[in-house]
Amino acid sequence: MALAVGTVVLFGVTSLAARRYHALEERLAQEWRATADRAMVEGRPAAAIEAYRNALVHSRDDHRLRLRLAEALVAAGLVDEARSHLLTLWEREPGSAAVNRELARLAAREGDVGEARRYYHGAVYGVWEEDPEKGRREVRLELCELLVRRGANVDAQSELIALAATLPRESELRVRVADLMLRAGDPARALEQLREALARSPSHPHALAQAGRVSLQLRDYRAAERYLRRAASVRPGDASVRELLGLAVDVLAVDPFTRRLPSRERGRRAERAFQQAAARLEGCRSRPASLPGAEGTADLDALLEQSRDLATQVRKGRLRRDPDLVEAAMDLVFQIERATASACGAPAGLDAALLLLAGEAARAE
Amino acid sequence: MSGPSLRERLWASVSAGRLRTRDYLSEEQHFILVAVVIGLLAGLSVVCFRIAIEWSRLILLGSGLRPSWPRVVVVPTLSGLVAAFLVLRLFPRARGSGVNQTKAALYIYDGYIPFSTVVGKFLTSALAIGGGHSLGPEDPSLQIGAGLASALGRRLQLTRERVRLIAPVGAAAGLAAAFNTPIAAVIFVIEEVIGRWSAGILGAVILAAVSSVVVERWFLGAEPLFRVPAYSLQHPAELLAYAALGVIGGIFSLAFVKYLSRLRGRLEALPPWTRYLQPAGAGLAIGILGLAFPQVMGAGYEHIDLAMHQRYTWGVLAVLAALKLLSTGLSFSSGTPGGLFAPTLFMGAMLGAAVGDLGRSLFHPLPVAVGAYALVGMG
Repeated sequence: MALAVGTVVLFGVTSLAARRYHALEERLAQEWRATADRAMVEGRPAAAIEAYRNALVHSRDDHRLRLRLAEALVAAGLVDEARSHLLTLWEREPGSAAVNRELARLAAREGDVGEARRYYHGAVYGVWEEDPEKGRREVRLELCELLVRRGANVDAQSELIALAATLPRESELRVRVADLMLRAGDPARALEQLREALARSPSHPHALAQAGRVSLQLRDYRAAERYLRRAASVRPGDASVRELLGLAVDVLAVDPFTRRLPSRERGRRAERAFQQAAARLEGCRSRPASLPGAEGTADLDALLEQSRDLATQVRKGRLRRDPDLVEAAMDLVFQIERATASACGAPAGLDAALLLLAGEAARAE
Repeated sequence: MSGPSLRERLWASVSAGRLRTRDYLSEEQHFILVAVVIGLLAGLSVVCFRIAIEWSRLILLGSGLRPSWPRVVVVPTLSGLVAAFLVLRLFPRARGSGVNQTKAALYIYDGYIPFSTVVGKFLTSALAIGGGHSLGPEDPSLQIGAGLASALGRRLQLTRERVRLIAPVGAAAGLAAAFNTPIAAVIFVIEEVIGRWSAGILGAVILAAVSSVVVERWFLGAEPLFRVPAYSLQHPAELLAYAALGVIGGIFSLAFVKYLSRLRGRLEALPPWTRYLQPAGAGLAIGILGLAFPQVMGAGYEHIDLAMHQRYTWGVLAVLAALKLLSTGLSFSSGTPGGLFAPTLFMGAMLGAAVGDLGRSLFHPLPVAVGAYALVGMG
């Protein structure tokens, strides 16, 4: 009986001691954690690391604490130790989105795109403690930015398609995604996103400019001109927008292959283009030999001879009557613009418009 | 006409306040029951003991990994002084780690361990370890468990043979609760304390160990002591590194044992009055070392965890292993109560991590898992 009573008393004493001890440990862990969080906010990762370590002494199984320690270690450049803690966490919680995200960032930092992608996917499909949609979206964006930065355009495009499907109706995000799509070499989808963004924010200056730029790339010059005109009106001081607008206007004015164009107008445009290209050729050919780009003039000489041959027929106004001559003349115009661009540098004004059309023609071939 | 039923006899005994289980159970059954009770009591005591160590550490050294320098120097010195006084004047059998003392009790004194030894070991070890001496709680837990068992056995008026057998049962329970590992405790006690396998004692030892761990986990949780990072063998050449670690560990262990025995001999050769001051002197030396390397103070488990997570470079790890050897020798040889388990784990972990980190530099860019080397080093 005495033994039973003694055991019960000891059990009671132990319970009380354990309860107070755990309460003390929890309080100390919270105090150290608060100190560490403050240090991180103040931009003192070294102090934060010390405090997080002290907090961990009193709360060894707090995975959030260990995660914060890992983040502080990364901020202080102690990557190896950070990775070690993150892997410990990952072993226990492989589905933790936050842990996967941090491991992905470490891998990205070290240039291991494959591993970074694996962990980013772990984060996307993992368990988020707060706002999972936003978390997944941001992580996917990080992954896309990494892939684009590393030139993995095919992978980036597939990730961006998946990301686009989850975007909310928020212009800024769509513009950001459109920029990435453009950098990843998918202008068509980029334009879709820009249109969505402009549907909600019709006067978004960057979206308008990008939409104009992309439309030019996609050879939709009328749409480009519309977007760029709106962009110029929203932001009149933007020189690059004005330049692109000028280019779009010139292309629309000089393109003889615009659909449903009357034959006289087509001939007139071809004539104008020919005259412009010929003048460009003359100017480029007459550059002094000492200037850069002046070498390699044999091609220019050949083109000059061809243009002089054709000039006779152009002067007679035959372009307005002979569609085949229009084709031949424009072929020569495009050759001239390409050759002079490589010999004498990027053109401006109408020549730039003709060079753009030359690129389109080359792609069509 | 039949006598009173079992139920009536039980009720009569309880009413009289003298329930004697041995009246209703066979001797074997009674021994097993006592083993379980010992496990419960040892578990509760060890939980209290560990909490006492942590409370002492928090009060004396503060809650951070790097205490202020006055505390680092003064606390181990004073705690050594107080512990020495308590041991020499009040609890003479509480001196040392506890394992040899338990073995001596078992083989020389038929398992007799005074209850005052349990109390003394509890108080002095908590003070010394919590005060920063380079010692661990496992060996004292073993002795506390053995002492409780011995006291209980005598209280229950067990036979002399049973009292002798009950001490290792308590030792296993105490060690199991200290390490949170019933299997390891059973094997250790049978190999190291009892010295032979005995079917008669094995069941009781296991039951007591399991009971104490259940209690310990009830109050302190079931989480392991260390959070080991993920690891795998990256290259077959790592096996050479592990082999080298084995050799280095062997040499280090030999050095440790020789150092302990020599230092202990020298300190014991000093006049008896110096024994009041030897733990304080050891504490002062540890405090001075602790100014630069506070990791060598106390049991050091939190620093083992940091070493596994690549907190230190191989140079620092090697220094920590060496300084821990030095400080543990000072604490132990001066007679400060406390155990050697934790410090040897610390030394092994630091050595292992040092080899691992050195290997990481040599085998770069292979991601060598330093934590794995620390684990192997502890083994």
